[in-house]
Amino acid sequence: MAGMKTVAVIFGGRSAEHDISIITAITPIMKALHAASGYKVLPIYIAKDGSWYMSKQFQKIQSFQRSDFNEFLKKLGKVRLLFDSGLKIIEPGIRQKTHAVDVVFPAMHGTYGEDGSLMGLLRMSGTPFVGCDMAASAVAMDKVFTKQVTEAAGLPSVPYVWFTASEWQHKRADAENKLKQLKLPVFVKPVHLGSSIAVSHAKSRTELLNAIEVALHYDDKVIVEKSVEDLIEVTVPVMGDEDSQRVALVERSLGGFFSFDEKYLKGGGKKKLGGGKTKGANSGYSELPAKLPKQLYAQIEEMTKQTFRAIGGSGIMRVDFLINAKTKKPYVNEINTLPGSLYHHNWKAAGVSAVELVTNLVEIAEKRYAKQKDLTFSFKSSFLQQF
Amino acid sequence: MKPLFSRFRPSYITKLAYMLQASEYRVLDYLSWVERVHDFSKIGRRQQLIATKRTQLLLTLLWMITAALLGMLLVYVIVIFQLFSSDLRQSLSQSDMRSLLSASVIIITFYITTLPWAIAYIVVVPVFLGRVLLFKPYEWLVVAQAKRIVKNHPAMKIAIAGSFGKTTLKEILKTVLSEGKIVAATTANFNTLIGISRFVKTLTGKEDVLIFEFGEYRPGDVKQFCKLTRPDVGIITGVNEAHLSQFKSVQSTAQNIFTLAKYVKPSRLYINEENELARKLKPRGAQLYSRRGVGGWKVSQSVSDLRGTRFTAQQKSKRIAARSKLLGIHNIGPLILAIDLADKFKLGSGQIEKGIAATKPFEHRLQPYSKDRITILDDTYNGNPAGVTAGLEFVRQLKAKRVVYVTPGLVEMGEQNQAVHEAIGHQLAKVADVVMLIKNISTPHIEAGLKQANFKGKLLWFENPTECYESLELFTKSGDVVLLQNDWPEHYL
Repeated sequence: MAGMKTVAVIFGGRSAEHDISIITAITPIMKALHAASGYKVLPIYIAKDGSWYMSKQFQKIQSFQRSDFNEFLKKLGKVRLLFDSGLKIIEPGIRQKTHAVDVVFPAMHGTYGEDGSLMGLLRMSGTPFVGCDMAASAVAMDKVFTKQVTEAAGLPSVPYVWFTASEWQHKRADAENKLKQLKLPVFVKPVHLGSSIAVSHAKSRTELLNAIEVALHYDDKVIVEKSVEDLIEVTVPVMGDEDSQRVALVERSLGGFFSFDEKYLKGGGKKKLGGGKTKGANSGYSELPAKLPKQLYAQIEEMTKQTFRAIGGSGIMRVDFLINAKTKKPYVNEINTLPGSLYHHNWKAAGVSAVELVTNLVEIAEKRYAKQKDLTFSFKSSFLQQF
Repeated sequence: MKPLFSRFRPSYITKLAYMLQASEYRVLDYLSWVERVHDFSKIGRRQQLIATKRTQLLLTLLWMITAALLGMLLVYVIVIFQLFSSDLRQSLSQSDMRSLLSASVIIITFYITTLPWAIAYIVVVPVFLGRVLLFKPYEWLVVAQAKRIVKNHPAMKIAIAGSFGKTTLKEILKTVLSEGKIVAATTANFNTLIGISRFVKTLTGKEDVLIFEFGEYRPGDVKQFCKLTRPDVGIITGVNEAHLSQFKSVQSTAQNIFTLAKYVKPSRLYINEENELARKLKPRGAQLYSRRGVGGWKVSQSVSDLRGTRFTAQQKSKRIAARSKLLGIHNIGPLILAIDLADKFKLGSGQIEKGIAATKPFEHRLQPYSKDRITILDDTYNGNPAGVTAGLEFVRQLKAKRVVYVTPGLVEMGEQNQAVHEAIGHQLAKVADVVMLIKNISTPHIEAGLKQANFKGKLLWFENPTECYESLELFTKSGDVVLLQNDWPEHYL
């Protein structure tokens, strides 16, 4: 199809957020790219065992709900990939059709995707890709790194300590001493996981120890943060590059913290055309926009942009803040470089349709790639002559 | 191959029954639909067969026809088989046998491939005979009974005829007059002769006002309606190209509708002044109603927005502060007519104002929803050019950030199809920022109209309504006003 850009949407993967990644990939990414027209969409699914597959049927959620899904994958056959001079996908079969990819749209939450692993692979292949680059992704994926980088940029965080699984097992006293720096209640989180998986609020020592065990079941590094009293939790999506950033709406959680259940399992009460209720990720449990004092709202927006720039963001991101309702002091909490479903419900409310969102992100990716192409990564030297 | 095989599935029989039901057992409409369909697997995606005694009978009939035709095939196969295995075979030469075999194969193949078409057409015969021999006599009986009831009923009878706006006007009158009178009105499915007759049989005799909506489908039916309902008051909402495929010309449509004028006194005939053709055909002595007023009533300070429509109506010393939740200035004409009739029925100002305040958008008629800060105006039951104009007029004055317009176009425009849809394109070019069209025989004319009017916005095409409505979710954003007009019944798709 002349004039069409081939966009490979890569999703799934060996991650605790595998299923969420499927939803993000289908809605809004693939659906919006189709609606936008001008794009040939290649759905690239990475199974839980790490095998890569491609099929047009991956654009429908029903494909992933079938009881014979594994047999379906076997019949499909794995694709092969070429990484030199751009990314090429080779379909299995007798004819082995090859697809040259113009842009990759990563939709892999969590490990091997959002953590920068996939981005590194794509950088090496010289393929434009949507979203944060490898370094920014790695920083944002690690909650400790996030706080260290944002604090260095002058952005406030709540008091926290961290330790590894090894420290907890073999240097317990050191870990316990760190914990003593914080008064209960605290939040305990695996450092590298998103979607609030294994995040616990501990109000007693028993709960604290349980929470640490749960977190270490999922990760080898744990962060323990001081719980903010009179908490207001807000999140803000942002899109752009180093030159300019656009924030969407500041969104406030109406329940407790943005738990996995609240984010993905609770349906919400918004009415569809005809009177039905909406289902799915990120809807119905928050105040949008957040009803905050004007000055605080503006401060949050500015801190979002600063956070984006501090970690070298590109494409899309979501920044979570904790606010002490009494003192009105905001703290940068976490960064998410691949918000679930791109948080398109928030962008929509902010005046950016799903189609505009994905097309803008593709444009940002291509602009970054064009800039990076001008950089030189090799130079002549007489180093080898010494040997 | 998939469209061909769709005729050989067991579900094909159910789909034929559904098509007959959706066509209201009108043989010509059904046959026209059958001829248009290529892929029967797409039939019934939006609506299903409604189980009634009649449809159960129909399904039985269709299966009996299928069984009979298959039975005939089986008999033929058995006869041929017997022939080949009998002594008669000895008397035939090799070439004769081969010819007979080839001919049999061709006949059987032809028979099987045309079987679905045969079923679809053969069923027309009993359906037609059923209408003529059973339904028509039944209809005559029911209508005769209804005529007797209406003749003896003391209520004031109001008849509404026109190409558009009938249902809205009927509901407005019912709502307003109910504040002081006992009112009964025909419902959505009761605007045919048999439907009105069935409605009449439900009356208690205590009603003060009866409102009849005439659903004109065939030349001469308004005369039949008038003879049945004996109207005291007649209202003509307008004449345009709606249902042109039945009436062939607008003049013929007007002639049918204005039959009503022969059955009411001129002073009790109300005509919509805002419709040019109806205005030109106004008989002497008849009254005109419009957004400016009716009779001695004058309208002033009129405003319409997403909260509703508001105006002041004044007649000499009487003053009504009208506050309706209906959207669009075009509703002021029907509302002021309701005020006039309510006044004539001796309702007080308070009652009239309360009645007007109770009027609200009807299902799928410029019905507003709000979602994600997007205003959606569901006007999908609107199926005529006047309605399109009214909807666009309302949207234009809303001053939205962006106007998104979705339509499959209008049905039954007959020879005026191209002109009507190009005119819609011209109007859209001035109002819409995004136009989403569903592919069919009419919408290319809308595109042509847009181009003629130098449309600068975005035009998007969709294969079917499902794809269109799913994409709507992805294209819209906060601040948009989305106008959905003219959803096609399935047999027009």
